[in-house]
Amino acid sequence: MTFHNGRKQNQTRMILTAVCTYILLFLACMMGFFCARKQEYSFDGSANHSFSENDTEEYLLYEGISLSPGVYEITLQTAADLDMAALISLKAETTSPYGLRCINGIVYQGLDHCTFSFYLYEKTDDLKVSASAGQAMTLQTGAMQIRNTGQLYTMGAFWLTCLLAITLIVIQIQTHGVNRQQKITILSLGVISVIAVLPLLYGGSLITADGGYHMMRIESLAEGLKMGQIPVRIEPYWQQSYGYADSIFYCNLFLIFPAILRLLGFGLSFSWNAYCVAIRVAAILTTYYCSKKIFENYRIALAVTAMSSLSVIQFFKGIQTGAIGEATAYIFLPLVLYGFWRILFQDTKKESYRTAFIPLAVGFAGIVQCHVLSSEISALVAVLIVVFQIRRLRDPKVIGAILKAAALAVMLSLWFLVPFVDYYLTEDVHIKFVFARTIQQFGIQIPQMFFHFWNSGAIAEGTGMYQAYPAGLGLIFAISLGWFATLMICNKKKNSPEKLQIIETSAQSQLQFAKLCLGMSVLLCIFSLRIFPWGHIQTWGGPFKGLVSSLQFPNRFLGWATLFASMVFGYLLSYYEIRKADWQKNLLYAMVLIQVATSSLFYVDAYMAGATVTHLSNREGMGNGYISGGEYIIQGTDDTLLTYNRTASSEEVQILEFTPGELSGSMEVNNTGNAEGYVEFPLLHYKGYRAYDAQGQKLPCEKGDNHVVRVMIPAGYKGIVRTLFREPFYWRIAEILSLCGYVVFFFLYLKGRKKRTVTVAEPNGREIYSDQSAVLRFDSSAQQRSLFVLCAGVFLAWTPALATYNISGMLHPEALARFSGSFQEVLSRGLILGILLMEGFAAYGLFSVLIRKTEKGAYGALLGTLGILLSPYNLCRIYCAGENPMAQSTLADLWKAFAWRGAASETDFHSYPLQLGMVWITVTILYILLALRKKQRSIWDRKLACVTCLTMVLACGTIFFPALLIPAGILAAIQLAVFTCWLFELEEDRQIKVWIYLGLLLLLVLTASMQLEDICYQGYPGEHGFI
Amino acid sequence: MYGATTYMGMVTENMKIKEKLPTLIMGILLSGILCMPLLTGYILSGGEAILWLMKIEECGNRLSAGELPLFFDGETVAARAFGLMAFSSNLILYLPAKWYASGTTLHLAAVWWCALVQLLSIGTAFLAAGEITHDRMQRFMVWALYILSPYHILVSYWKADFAEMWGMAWAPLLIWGILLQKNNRKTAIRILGYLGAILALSMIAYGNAAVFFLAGFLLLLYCLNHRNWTGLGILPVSTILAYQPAAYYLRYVLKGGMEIYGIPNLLIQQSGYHFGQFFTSFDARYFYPGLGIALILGLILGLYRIVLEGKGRRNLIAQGILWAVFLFLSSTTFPWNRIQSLGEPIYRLIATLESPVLFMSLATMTGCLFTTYTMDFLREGAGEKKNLLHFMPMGVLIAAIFNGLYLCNHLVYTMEPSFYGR
Repeated sequence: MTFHNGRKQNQTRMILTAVCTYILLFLACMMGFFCARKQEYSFDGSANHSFSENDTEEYLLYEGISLSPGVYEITLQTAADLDMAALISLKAETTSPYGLRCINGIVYQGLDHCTFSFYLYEKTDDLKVSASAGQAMTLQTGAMQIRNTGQLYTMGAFWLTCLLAITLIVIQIQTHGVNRQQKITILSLGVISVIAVLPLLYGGSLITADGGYHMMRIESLAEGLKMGQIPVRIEPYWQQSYGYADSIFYCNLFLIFPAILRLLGFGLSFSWNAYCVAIRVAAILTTYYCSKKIFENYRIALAVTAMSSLSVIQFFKGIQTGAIGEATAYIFLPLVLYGFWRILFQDTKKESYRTAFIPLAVGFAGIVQCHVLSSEISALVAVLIVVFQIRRLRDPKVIGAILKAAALAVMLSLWFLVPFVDYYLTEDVHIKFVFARTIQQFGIQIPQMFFHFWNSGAIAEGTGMYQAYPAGLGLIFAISLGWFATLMICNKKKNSPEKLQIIETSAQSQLQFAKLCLGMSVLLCIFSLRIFPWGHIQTWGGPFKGLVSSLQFPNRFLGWATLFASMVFGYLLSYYEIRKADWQKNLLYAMVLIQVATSSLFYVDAYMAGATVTHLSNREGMGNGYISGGEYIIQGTDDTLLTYNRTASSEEVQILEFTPGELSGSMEVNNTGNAEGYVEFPLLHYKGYRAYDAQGQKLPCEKGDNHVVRVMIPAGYKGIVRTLFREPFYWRIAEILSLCGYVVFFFLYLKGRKKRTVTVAEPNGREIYSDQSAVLRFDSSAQQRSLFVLCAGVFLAWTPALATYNISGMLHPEALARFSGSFQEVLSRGLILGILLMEGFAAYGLFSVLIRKTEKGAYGALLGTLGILLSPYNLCRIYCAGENPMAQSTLADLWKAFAWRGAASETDFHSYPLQLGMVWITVTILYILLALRKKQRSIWDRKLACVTCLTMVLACGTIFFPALLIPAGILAAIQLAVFTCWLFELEEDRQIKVWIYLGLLLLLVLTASMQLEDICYQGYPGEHGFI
Repeated sequence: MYGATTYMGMVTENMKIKEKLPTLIMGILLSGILCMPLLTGYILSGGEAILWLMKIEECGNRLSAGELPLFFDGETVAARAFGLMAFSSNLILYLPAKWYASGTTLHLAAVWWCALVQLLSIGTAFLAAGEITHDRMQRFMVWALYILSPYHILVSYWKADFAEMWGMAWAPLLIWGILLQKNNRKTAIRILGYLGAILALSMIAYGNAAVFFLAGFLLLLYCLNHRNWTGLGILPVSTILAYQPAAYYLRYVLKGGMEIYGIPNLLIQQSGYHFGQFFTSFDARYFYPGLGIALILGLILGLYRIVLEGKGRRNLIAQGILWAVFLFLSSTTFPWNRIQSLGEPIYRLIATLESPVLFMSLATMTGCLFTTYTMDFLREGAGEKKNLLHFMPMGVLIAAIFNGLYLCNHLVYTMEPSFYGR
């Protein structure tokens, strides 16, 4: 008791010290902030420059400016005769390369000044301001003001707060301690997080397809928050302050975090990267949380998290494309899946079932509030899940839970949904008119489902993989799905009445769940393919046209497909964990390592080697005219006419003065005519704009030319006219209802936590049902297993033929020309499959006969057969046959272990990987090493020694006679088969022998996969093909 | 693989000759991997390949004319755009220049020279590893991790920096010599080590005088830290032996004036690593070779060991800190520019390092040590349990081999031969 009291006192003392220190420093920062804001410097001067076309010279405007470190805002008086052609830039001699951070300021024709921010981290005495333009124009510049924003101190306060949070966590850990499991979990999640965000740690932000658009959203949101618009509906900064209803159609709830960082003064790149890191880490945490709940094992949860979060689709969407809407949705997909797990697979009689609907509700609410397209896809996934599990709807509690989840999700999202639906129904936004957009050509090729290395930079225009993007399921996932499917096929149940009475045990629930995940994963992968008839579905018209068009890219289904596949992987781990099948379990964990090390990291390295990284400090250099596809602009708006302060009026109305505001404006007008006239404000008209006269009377407000705000002026009126944006009242009601929803949610959450701390732990289904063999049992002989793997090998070798195009050089006999188009292609692919099957089964049969029908013989035959089937030469023969003949090998070629097709030069390079491959090299080396240790000789020794020597001689002979490669390849395959038999006769530990064998198998598959990927990526379409 | 007293083939007791053979064979094979790009018979079109070929050619021509100066004059440096290569003496290129002058093709002469240097690197690394640890398998692991590290491979063939390749060949000999003083060996061996260290440091000076001063500084720190007073003597003796390159370099650093010969005189901080760039294995932005998959795995496992296991953490933490220091020195965060602003001589001194990336070589060496010691701790922790952790040491070694093999394959397949001199 005394010890605990002492510890608690110590903890309290430390917390108090930390908090007091924080408060003092925070106050110091605030003082610094207010003092800094008083610093303002004015500079008088004027200049007049005429620029010519392609003029690259910079003209000095001011120099010798002395400033201390801080975040400043510079305002320079300007007058330009061309819009967005001139740039104002800053330079300072600083010791640190990061002493001055600034992007140029853009000069707008419609504004009389150019304002932008810059970051100075080092004192300077010679800040220079200069102007440049790349087009023929005239620029006049005048006085300049530099104002300290004080944001250096707000940033300091932010870091202080982070430091306090870390300190409090450390104090908590030190006081209460962390057990081994928690340490492993924290460390592992930390490693996964670092790998997941590695591309964001290159000192800047990546230039991505969608990055610029989302950065504009952040900027505009920050601007909206600054002007007091909560929640932000029309973002004021877009389109030269005309405003854009981006927030109405694309919820910006989660962008508040980077927007606040921007308001605190952090640079654009930092805020963007911070957000990307936050969503990646959040997705990792939710995946871990949900998978731990499902599998009840932290190690399995970590494995599932690694597989899912480090999958190529998450990297592709979150990092390479910059599709952060979709990447944010990945936080909530696991919650939705976990929600369905609880509602559909848990015992409805249990007390905990009352709160089963919450994860589903929160998940859907989150998805809706970050990415509408993801909510479309998730809704489809939800419908499919319910359809596949329709028999569970017999229980009214299940229906009740689903309805409660839907109701809570809608309530939480109402604040976003009501304005969204309102504008969608009442405004003619551009998104309603883009139904002609087809998506099928963006689908992925079948081979991509089985890729492992994701050569992200190799998709040149003209190659067959153009527009396919580095996205797919992945080889390891495909293997695990196939493994699980094999288990199911070979399932044998023991009929035991007392065991079958237990219906909803956790093990059985997990099995049913895994089956659902398998089916869903395969189905969604099919949806993402180029061969899926999206084009045909669009022709059905009606809602199908719009829904399909809005998807844009079929690869969006892969987010869900990968998550489902991860759960199947988790089930496999759980299955072997329960059965205490060590080597299978260790193999699965090894597959996680292989996935991370050779797939995820390979992809990141390949992508980052060529990616463009830039540092964006202030937003002004980005401009504000980019609205991506302009989906939320009013249809027919000409955005080239949206320039600053562009006002207009009818003939009889005079505009005496115009004062712009943010989403508002005021004019002094005089209607000298006898009829009603109008004035137009430089604001895009969306529903919600109102106008008032000087007395506060409402004036009619409508869409003017180019859909700007037009206010009708009564005849004879002279005075002030104001316009501003006001939310309709029912939007506010929706916001209040949503707020109530959040309160209800928190209440339920707290209630649920309280119950968990007092309820006695319920019996674990696993304890009741300890023998998994009654649930699922894999009983098969070595022959059966080998045949399964052989079929998988044949399929892998066949995958390039499954592309919609014919790889130039792919086997395509002239005899097929007599058949018509598509049938010819089907025959061609069938022919390749036939050849592969024949090769495979003939070789397997021959090896089986030669090596005896024993367990070892089956495995040896398998390895030998795959050694032929997946050899570099065989794959080249089938897919690269039409091009250059065999080139002569050199000594270096013998060492070329990873075979692919890339040829850098015609004159000096050996175009084709005709060597024997990595596996042969490894087996030969292993044989030499193991043979030296072996004490007793057997008949396999002589056979293996003979084959090995002969193969080595022939391999060396290929330097002089390339044609020797064929017999060398066959012998190498025989060597693999004999080696396997020899290996299993060694006196070593059985587990070690199994690991060596599995390692060779994996190596064979991986090197073949690398070659097959390269064949696909670099293969240009031949004459024929489906699409 | 080798019996119940081992962990996945890692034997810790002394082995008989027959049992040493597998290690020897593996050593030869791994050496073959490192030399793979040279087996093509040409020099790959790496970053500085053309410049070095030009330098060999120039040396060969001068040799044919009868005299080869230790350093080229300013006009030659400017005309050939040798830049900072000016501080690399022509002594190190004597052999290829001689072969070229006697009729061998330029590429072949360069290939043979590179092969010799790589073999030297392999040999000296083996010696150094033997003094760092007396455990046979640990020694093999340190050696394998070093010679197959991405930095070693990429600097040799992708950047084609012959001076740095030369330095990386001699540096392990210096380490070997220093450690011999510390490890209480017989006097004759210690004297041999002493001489070896002197030779190594001198040769480093002839390769790149800037690196000589850096190596000397680190040697000084090491000797002071370990109170190795005899080791301090290496510095003045090697300075005497390498008087000419040291003086040539110091003249520039202290007086300047060679900028007219096109020697770049830049601030170096911005060309350091960003954090994410440390963790590449299979590809990298030019020229930022990463740690490689083996060292990354070693780092993760080391963290696991430090966080989870109580015993023996301190040594591992100390090694980890040293590793982190070198990584920090190679990063863009370390205030190199601020140090350079302290004065003109310091500015020039640091500018001749060209880039903080140089410290990655030191980071790689310490990383190899850290990883090896982590494997040892893992072996102790796993005991006889045949879980995944038990196989991690072999896993790390396999990762290193495959990473090295992949990089060599990748270079051979994707880089054209250097057009100069073909």
